[in-house]
Amino acid sequence: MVTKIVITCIYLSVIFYLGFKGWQSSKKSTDYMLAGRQMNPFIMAMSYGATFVSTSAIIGFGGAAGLFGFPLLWLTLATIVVGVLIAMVFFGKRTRRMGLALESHTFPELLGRRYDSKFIQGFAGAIIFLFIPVYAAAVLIGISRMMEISFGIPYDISLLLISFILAGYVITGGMKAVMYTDAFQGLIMGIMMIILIVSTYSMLGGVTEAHQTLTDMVNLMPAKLRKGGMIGWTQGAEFGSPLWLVIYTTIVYGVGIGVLAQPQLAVRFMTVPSDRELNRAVLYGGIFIPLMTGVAFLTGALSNAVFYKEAGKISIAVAGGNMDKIIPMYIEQMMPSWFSALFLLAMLAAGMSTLSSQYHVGGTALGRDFFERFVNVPAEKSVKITKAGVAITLLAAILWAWVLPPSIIARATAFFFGLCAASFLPIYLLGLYWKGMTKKAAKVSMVGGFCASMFWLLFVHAKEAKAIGLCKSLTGIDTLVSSAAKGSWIWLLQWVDPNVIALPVSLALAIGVALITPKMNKEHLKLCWANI
Amino acid sequence: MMLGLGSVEIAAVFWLCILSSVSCVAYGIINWNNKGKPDATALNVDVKPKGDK
Repeated sequence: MVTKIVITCIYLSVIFYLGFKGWQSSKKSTDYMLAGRQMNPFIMAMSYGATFVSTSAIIGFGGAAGLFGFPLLWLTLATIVVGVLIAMVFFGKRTRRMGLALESHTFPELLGRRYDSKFIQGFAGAIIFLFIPVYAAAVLIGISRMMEISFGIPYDISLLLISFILAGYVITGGMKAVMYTDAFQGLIMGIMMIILIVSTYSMLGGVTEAHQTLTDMVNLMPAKLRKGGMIGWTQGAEFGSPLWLVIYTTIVYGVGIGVLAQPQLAVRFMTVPSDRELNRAVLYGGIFIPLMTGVAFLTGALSNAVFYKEAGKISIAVAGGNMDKIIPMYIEQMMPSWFSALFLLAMLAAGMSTLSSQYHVGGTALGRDFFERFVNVPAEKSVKITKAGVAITLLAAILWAWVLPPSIIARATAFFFGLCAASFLPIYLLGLYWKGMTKKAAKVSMVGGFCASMFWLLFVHAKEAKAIGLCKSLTGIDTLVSSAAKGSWIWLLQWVDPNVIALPVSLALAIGVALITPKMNKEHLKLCWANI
Repeated sequence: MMLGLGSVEIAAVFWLCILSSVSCVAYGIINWNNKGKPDATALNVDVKPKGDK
């Protein structure tokens, strides 16, 4: 316990020092919102990665890999190819260039100015401000529970304590403080994950031996999972089965593609001074992201082999049926005690780095995008309103964390990713690359994508629809498709992620409406493309 | 090639993860000093306040 406290105190001292450095060098609104557009590529890449990968990604999805095995590596591949390479090279460079030409300080502001529309900026800001606290609450709950278990601090106190620490440096230091601390937290996470994967493979006698052990355990796959379509941890799932749909549409497609339109990530592209920094960030991101998602998923899957070797049980049995406990139990029972103390710190860092960016983006959405642009509050008050926005986002996350049951909170990451992808991805992509995209098309696509995503979440996708219960209270059935013939394609729709439907709808609306509505003013387009 | 994995699909994704990570590193090294086209002077754009009709 003393070791844990000492390590945590040292960690917090460094965080406060970095937060202070951020505060000290933040003078203008560009500093507060975009770190002065002069960020170092290493810090940018680490901050991007640490924001992207939260505690729930490691503990939650790592636990899912304990259940489903290696197919989750498709998500790792998506996070590297889409989340790093495509994001930085094809989205990042244009975002930075267009953002600079249009003097944009936030992601909604970039969209709003690209389409010359205050409505787009205000609506995007409102979506972010309203829904990011739900996503933040999921992360906050995760690390507060961890503090409760590790330090014995009551859950409610942990919740307030972490929020208070974050408020200290996010509100005062803005983007610089967020990115400096993110990079430090990312570094801790990286070191811990290297130790974790090396130890796991060593325990099983090497890479091929470890995989072979798990392959040979095919007969131990629980009957319930086999019924849902799973074959084995290293064999994958049967094509088209319910579990295949869960793995490939929700986990891989939903989260993998969703990363591109995350406002808290996209805004980081505008924090660097040139394309060179983004090129270098591809290198750092290409190492950091697989270290996070790849290691978490490999360890989750291989924990079955380690637990079976040591305790004669598979992971989900050791974790008492709770998938979220697989990684913590594995760390606690199979790794040395010094490591579990440090891993706790890494998870605290993972949660805090994601939370700080969520609060910052929520604050700028309310202050800059909604009040300053949409409601026309004077620009001189921009930073003050944004600071108030960060505080309100933080309070909203605390409220969500208190009000919502864990079953709903656990869905929040996929929920927010899906909502952002359907609402923003088509107009963001087409806005960067297609001069023929129109203002009306952007509005229709954003609102249409948002509505389609919400409809699917509330009335069709079983996980959210059942948990929220709106469909049941209106129609008497859990989802609109659950009364269809079992096994039919309509019945299977309840496992199809909202993005599979809402994103194509949003894209079709964008292209379709753009083709029949008046093109944007040539002078305005010239301005948008002035730096490309 | 299979590294003890139980299906071709899974072995493929395992290798693809490594390959994509290496590609990112290679891209970063090749373009380490590539600044791209110099930035046009930052324009102070005043988007029409009532442009949203």
